This record gives sequence, C-alpha cells and structure tokens, in this order.
Amino acid sequence: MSWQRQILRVNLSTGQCKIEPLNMEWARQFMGQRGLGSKYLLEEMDPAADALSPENKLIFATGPLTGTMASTGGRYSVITKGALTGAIACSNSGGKFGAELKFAGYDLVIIEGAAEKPVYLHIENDKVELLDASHLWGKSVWEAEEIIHTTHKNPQMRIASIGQAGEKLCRYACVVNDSHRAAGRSGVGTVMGAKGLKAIAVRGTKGVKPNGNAKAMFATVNKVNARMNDRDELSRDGTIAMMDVVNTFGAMPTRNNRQVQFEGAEKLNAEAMQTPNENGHTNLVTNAACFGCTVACGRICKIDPTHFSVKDKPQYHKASGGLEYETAYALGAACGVDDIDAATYAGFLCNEYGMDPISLGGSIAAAMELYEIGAITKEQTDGIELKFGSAEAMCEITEKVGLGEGFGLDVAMGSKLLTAKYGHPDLSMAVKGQEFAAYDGRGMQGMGLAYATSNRGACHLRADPYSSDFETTNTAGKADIVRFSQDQTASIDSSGLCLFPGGAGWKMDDYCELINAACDGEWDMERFNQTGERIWNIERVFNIRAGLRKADDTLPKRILEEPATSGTAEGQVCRLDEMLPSYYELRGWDTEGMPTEATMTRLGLL
Amino acid sequence: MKITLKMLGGLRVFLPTAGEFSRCDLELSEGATINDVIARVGLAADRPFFIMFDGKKLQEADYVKPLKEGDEVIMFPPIKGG
Repeated sequence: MSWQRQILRVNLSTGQCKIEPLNMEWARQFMGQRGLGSKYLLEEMDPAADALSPENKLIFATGPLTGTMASTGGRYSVITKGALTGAIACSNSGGKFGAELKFAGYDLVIIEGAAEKPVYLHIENDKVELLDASHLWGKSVWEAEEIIHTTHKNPQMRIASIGQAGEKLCRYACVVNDSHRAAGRSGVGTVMGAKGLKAIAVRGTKGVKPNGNAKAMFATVNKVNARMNDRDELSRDGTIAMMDVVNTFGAMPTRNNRQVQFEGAEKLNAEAMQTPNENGHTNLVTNAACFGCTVACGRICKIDPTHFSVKDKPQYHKASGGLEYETAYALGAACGVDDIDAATYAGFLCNEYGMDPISLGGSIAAAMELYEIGAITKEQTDGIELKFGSAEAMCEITEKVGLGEGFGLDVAMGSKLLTAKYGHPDLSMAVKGQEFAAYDGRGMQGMGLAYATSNRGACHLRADPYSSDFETTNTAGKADIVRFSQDQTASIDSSGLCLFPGGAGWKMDDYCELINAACDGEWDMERFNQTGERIWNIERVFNIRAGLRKADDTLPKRILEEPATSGTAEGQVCRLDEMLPSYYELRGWDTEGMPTEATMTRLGLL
Repeated sequence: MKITLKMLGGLRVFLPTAGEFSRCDLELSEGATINDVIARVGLAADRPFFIMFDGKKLQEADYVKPLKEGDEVIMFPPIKGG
C-alpha cells in the first residue's frame, strides 16, 4: 500500500478541514501525483473559472513512491489552474516536504475557497489546523520558514510556502519548500497567494509501507540503483553541464531568442562554477540531494562577497541553493548577462521571494528587448538602463518583481501581458503565456513541438526529444517521439520519482519495475505508457474546457519565421507545420486537436 | 599534428590525456580522421555521443573527415533536463 489511501480536504472559506478516503479507482487509473491531482481537479472544478478566484482549487499531491526507499522518491506536485497560463498547471518539486506530507498520512491535500485573512495550514499526522498568518504576510519564504519552525519548536517540520511574489500576485510566483526547492512553473504560488494561504507546515511520523513484499521492493530498489554506480556526472557538475552542450550545439536561447548561441556561456558553465575567480572565490560549495536521492544534482553555492549585488548585504553571503541550468540560462543568456554571481544572486532572490526564475528571466529578456527597440523608456523602467547584458539591471528588476514595486509590477505580469501592454506581443517568447526553457525550437525541432503542445505551456520537462534533436534537425519522426515521451514523462511525474535518473542510467523499465513493486496490481510497460496517455488526455480536456484551442498550440513568430543565426540549425526556423498534424493524428485527436470519442473510449475516459 | 579535443557534460572525465576541465590537446599522425579521435578516446558502447566540428553537428558518415593542425573536435553526450 504505497498509497496512504486518504486525502485531506481544506476549505479556506469555511475553515473546515476534513480527512477523506482516496478514490482508489482513480488511483489505479491515474497512479498519483500529477495524474491523480489532475483527475481530481478536472472532476471538482469548472476549468473556465478564473485562476485567481476561490473557485480554483490547489492540490498538493504525492505519488505512490513518494516517501518510499526508492531513489529520488521525494517528489510532490502542485496542481491547479495556472495563473500565468490559464491552462492546467502541474509543478513538481523535490526537497523533503513531499515525503513528510506522505508520512503524515496523505496522498493529496486539496485546498478550496479563499481565506478572509492570511492563514497557514499546520499538519501533524491526524492533527490538522488552520492558523493565523497575519504575522507572516509580507515575509519572505526564508523568514516565514524560520518563524514557523520557531513557533512550533520543531526543526523536523517541513514547510512549503509563498514569498512576497505570491502575495502580490506576480503571475509566475512559485511554491518554495525546504528553503530552495520549488514547484516553480505556471504561477502555482500565485494561486496560493490569491487564496490567502501563506504556507503548509507538516510533520509526519507514520511512514510509508510498500505494497506486499518489502523484501522484493528492496531488491528492486538495489537493482535499479546499481545502474547509477558509474553515472555520477549529475552529482559532479549538476544540470549546468547542459550549458556547454546546448550552447555548442546552437540551441541556447540568447537575448530573448534573437540568437541561439551565447558568447558568454563559458562564464556561466560548470567550469566557471567550480573554478576560483580573480578573488579566489569559488561559486560552488557542494552538491545536495533531495529526500532519498542517490543522484544529488543540487548545487549549493556562495556569491563572491565583494560582488556588487551583495557587497552591502551580508545576509546573502552564506551558502544557499545555487544555479541550475535553467536558472543560469534565464538569468544569464536570455538577458545577455555573463555574470555568474549576478545570476546566483537573482536565483537566491527567486527562492527568497518565491518566483520562477525561468519565467522571470524570460520576462526580463522581453522587457530588455522592448527597451532596446524604444517601446519603453527610462521613465517607465524607474530609471533603469534596461539593456541586454546589464547584470545590474537584471538584478535590480529581479528585486522589484519580487517585492512588487514600480516597473517590477509590469515584469511580474509575465512576458505575454508585458509585451502586449507595450504594443509588441510578438516579442513574448512563450507558449500559452509560459516562457521558454533553455532550448531553442529552431536548433531542437522536437523541442519546438514539445513546447507548442505542452499542456502547461512551454516546458522542457514534458517530453524527451533531446537525443533525437541532437541527432538531427530533420522533422521526420519527431511527432511520434514527442507524443510517446510525453506519455512516459506523465507517468514518471505521477509516481513520486524524479525525471533525472533517466539521465543517470535508469531506463523506463526501471521506473515501471519500481511502480510495480510499490503499487497494487500488475504494472507493466503497456500500463505505464497508457496511464501516461490517459493523464495527457485529461490535461488536454481540462484545457479545452478552459477555452484553449489549436491556435494555442503554436510558437512565437520569431521561432517560426526568423532563421537561427548560427550553430547546427543555422538558417533554419522551427518547422512546426511539418510536425503538428501528424502529432494530432498519432494522439488520436481530430484536425483541430480535440480528442476523438474513439480515443476517449479506448482510454476509459468516457 | 596537434588538435584540441573537448568532451562536454558527463564525458569530460573520459578525456584521453590530461587537460583542463573538459578539454585536452591530442597528438595525432598526419591524415588522422575524426574516427581516429573516437578510437583514441575509446568510450564504452553504452556511452553514446555526438560530434561537433566547425560549428556544426556531424553525421556519422562525416567521421572519415581528415583533420588538420589546430582543429577542434567536440564530443558531447545526449544529456537532458535542466
């Protein structure tokens, strides 16, 4: 029974907290976490409701392997209607919060309604209470965590909270747990802010029992962990190892996707992070692992205390969560900034204020382009010289977005609304309102299709076209690779495990074996793949009911019409039109991208 | 002749001679090809890789290309995520 078989329902409007049995029929169909949370969301709310209204629901969901002995089994997701996108949102986080929530006895926590005054949810196993959070409102994630820990005198308590960005409804606010792990994308923290929920603080001591034979589970865990024995690249260099690869290949979104290679990439890569600078300061302090993880890709870093961003701010001189590849791209290359300390500082602020660094960087990059073409001036930017390459400007805007001040409020709307406000909507490098991750759809054609069709807006973690994209820019076969890997990714995201062991030796069979060992019933690859397909389709149904259509499965004009200026795909645009029709067909959707009755029947969704 | 070999991402620990972080110099005989570089590195079969040369990703058919003094060959693995 790796499911705990119960959920916690909390209505913020009435103050009622209720423990209910988990719908096991849905658990068997949708596994857990992303799939199960999406099913509950689709069944319980009107997808057309405003994301910031009390009608939206906010679901914290663990998977059947969360809190088990399986490596990387510490994941949870936050599922809601996204404030940034108006589409279904599902943001995944590591750290230790997810396992703690599971230990308290819950597969899901469903948050409904909205609080009149700020509150936080305190859970200790079966004891559940909503507590006043007036004293926490206006505090950062780090401050709130410290106060809650002190209040409850329990350092083992795990906390997920929002910072000032979520309170002030920055459209890409995230939920941060354990100080620097985040359910980052699509504005799930914004929804939490709109509900007046500052934090969830949880302590659980119930443990998680594997299904059936614990010895068999242990044997499976040992077997798949052994595959990682000689695969320590992620712990050694972290995800930032991607920087050299993607930049050399020619798919690095640079200066709001004006270019696909960044001349400053070598100042932001794994070598730069590990090499002492001219002051003898080294950015990387150590690596770190989430709950139960044997990969340990996390970066713990320090900013050079003499750097302009922190020289008068000693509170930022200690080690904290450092640059992941996506953060280094967004607060670096996307803005034309080659300053690793500035990017690290802005990354710290993202954790402290609770902002998604990818959408933040993408929105600042859009603002920089608006500034450079004269669509906005210094009068609008509070006097900031908002030019590409200015580390000072990037840091200053980050502070303003986090605190919801001045021009920061414009950038906090996200690039879609920002560029529309100033008359240049084509300059938003986003899909469904969500900014690109660190791959350009011209250099990586499959990623272009993956961005266009991702149910939560542009995302690099919703499909796995990487190997195919590095192999060739020919579009033949990409639609099937994207479709198939979208389904498999949806299943992994529903299991409680992390996607990254897939890059450290694990194969899909390994995930499937772990799920089979942990869950009721037989789980083979066919069921694993079909569960993912079912999840993908209910997310699609949610989006259709929310009003999204085929026209939303597209890319910015720049990616479709302006050829890449260098690299492997020099002279090429993203040929989405060659891939999208066959993608729909392979999915069993009609030419407008609607799932057909036959497909819904085949998946047991009608 | 001497060329520069870069091995990016997780491949950097397989540099065939001592170098800096992810690159090293390689002495090759005249007329050596990219295939010769690949043979010198000798990656295990379960370590897939791609080759970048002169700013472009090469297809395998191009690995017979003869190298010249000062060339740079870049090997990278199919890593993912971020």
